[in-house]
Amino acid sequence: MLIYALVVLIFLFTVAPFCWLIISSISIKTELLSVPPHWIPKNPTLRSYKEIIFGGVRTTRAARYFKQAVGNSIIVAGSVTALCLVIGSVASYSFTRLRFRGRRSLLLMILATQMIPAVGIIIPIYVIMMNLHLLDTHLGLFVTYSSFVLPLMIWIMMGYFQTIPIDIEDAARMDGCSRLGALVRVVLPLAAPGLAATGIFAFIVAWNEFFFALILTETATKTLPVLISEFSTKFGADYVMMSTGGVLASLPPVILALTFQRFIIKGLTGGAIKG
Amino acid sequence: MKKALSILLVGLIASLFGSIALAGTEITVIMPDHEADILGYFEQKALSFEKKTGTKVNIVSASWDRVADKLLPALAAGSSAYDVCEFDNCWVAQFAETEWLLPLDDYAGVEYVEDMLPALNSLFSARGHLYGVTWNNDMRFFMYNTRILEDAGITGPPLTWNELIEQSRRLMAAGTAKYGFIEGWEMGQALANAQTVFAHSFGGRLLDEKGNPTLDSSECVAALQFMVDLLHKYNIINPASLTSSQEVSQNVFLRGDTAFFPQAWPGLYSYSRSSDVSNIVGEVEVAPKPLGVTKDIGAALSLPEALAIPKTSRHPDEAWAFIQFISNKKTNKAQSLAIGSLPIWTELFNDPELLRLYPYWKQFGQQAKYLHGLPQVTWYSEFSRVCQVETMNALTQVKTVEEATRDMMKAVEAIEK
Repeated sequence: MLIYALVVLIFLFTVAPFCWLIISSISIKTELLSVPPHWIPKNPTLRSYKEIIFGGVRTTRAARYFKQAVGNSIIVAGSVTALCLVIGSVASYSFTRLRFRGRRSLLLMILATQMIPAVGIIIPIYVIMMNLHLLDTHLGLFVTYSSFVLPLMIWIMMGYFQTIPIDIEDAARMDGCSRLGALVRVVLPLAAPGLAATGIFAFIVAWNEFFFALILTETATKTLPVLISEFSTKFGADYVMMSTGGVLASLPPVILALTFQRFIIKGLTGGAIKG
Repeated sequence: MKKALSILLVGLIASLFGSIALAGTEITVIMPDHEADILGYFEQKALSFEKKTGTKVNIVSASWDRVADKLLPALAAGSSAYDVCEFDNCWVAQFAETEWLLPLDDYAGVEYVEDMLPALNSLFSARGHLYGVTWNNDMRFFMYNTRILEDAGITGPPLTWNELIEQSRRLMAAGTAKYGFIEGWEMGQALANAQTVFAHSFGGRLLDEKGNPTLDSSECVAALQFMVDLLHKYNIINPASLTSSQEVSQNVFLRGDTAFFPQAWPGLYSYSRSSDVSNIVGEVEVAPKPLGVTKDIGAALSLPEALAIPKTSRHPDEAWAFIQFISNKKTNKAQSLAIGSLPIWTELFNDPELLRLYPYWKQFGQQAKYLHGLPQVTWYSEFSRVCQVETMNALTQVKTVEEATRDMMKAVEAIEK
């Protein structure tokens, strides 16, 4: 009985903030700020959604750029995920299967890059991007995000590759596959659940990233997290518009997660036990 | 297939020429989102400037709390990403010290600035140079709700803090308001602003002329104690103040739940007259003086924002033309008419058309003598952060006022070193 109570508690703890986000997005501002607060809005409205999606006379600049920001986020997060999956899977396979000089040091070095706080490297990154003329470009964000998503993916995927018995790969090699052929035809299909889980993880990291996007983008490539923060003025935040933006921004990762749900469950447990 | 490829090729060439045609002079302006931006005012003016001069204006917006995070790396890296930047008066000392901005003396000339409010020019001057021209004259006024006071049998607004306490108690007892007022004292810059203005209203100041901290002066300590007492002893201030932003405090006032708004921004007067956002249409008045510990002392904040030109700008002439276009008398009057902001030109305070809309500007002269800007030191952001934390510790009674003051002094002295 206790276990069910805990499950319900964890479920509420996880879902309640998202419910409040949806409720806030369909409430009117005065009702949202009323004391005592209440869960069900008395006058629910989709006005903020209409404003963001279709625009209007009093639409703010942030709302007008929302669709563009969605596009930017999809381009950046999508390309980071795709490239990091390709490079990351080859790299983590190499670290798992090949024994070469400096392997351990290289692995630790990759891990060490994750320990540098973003704020400590923002000026050098800004200067590099400025000199390469990559400020406010998708490519600039793509390169920056890849620099921290890729190491994460390499480490996570190594766990999955270790679960695949090397004998299967040897059998493929004996049947005439090259090492790359065995990787593509045998290892990667077996590691698909892990790749799906890691891919979604990479997508979410790139999708939610705020700090680098804030500094490195201007108008053309502004991503969703930065744009949502702009539903505010000197005197405070526009909670209704921010919540609406939040609900819409959370849809792509949720859809992605639901689509690959089957793989994710397999993938999450797949890397837990080494073969 | 061939036809589709041809169309694609023609399209690409056309778009290439299209982009070449648009690629004339372009200036990039970075500024936070303002209350004015809700109406798209600044963007409209940028379009007018484009039509008039042919110079394209690329506006880079950022949230208020994040604009510094975005601007400072660019300035520090010597980037020419921005031709015009908006900056706050608390940044003047730092920006002058680092020589990030172009002095505007040669551009503006004596003739241009001498008709502006002198206080504004001095707020954006340092080391003998003018670094910014104000576009948003955010000066604060003490506003109150006449209906709530009259319903409680009170004939005029309070002039001192003691009168405010007494009147608040009366109207809360009469049930005409839930609380005397609400403040936007959530952890943030507004809390540091509040500490500054309360200190001035007790005759003190947080830093002396040389920039040394005077937070432990009897005036500053009394001011902080008074802020704490408003919450925990007098109980006339909405306890939600500790988690409220300035916008929330505005909404509560516009809903008619509170009677006083000690540091109201000019645009609030216009909002209060709009039934779209206000339940108190026609009930708001401006007091003859801001609140203070005695009838002779009062304090109001001056928090204007100015436009400046980074030294690295590739188009300083066009940037200045834009600043001039935004700040000239005609545009400035249009801005006041549109969003109720205070003008930056002395002459516009006597403009009949504006005075019909905003009669309280007549009291501007009286209030102006009580105005104070934020402290100007190169380490203001660190100073502000320390003040916010320790003031919050005092307000939430995690520390006593004496402990919070002692820790504030220690931290500020460490920053100074």
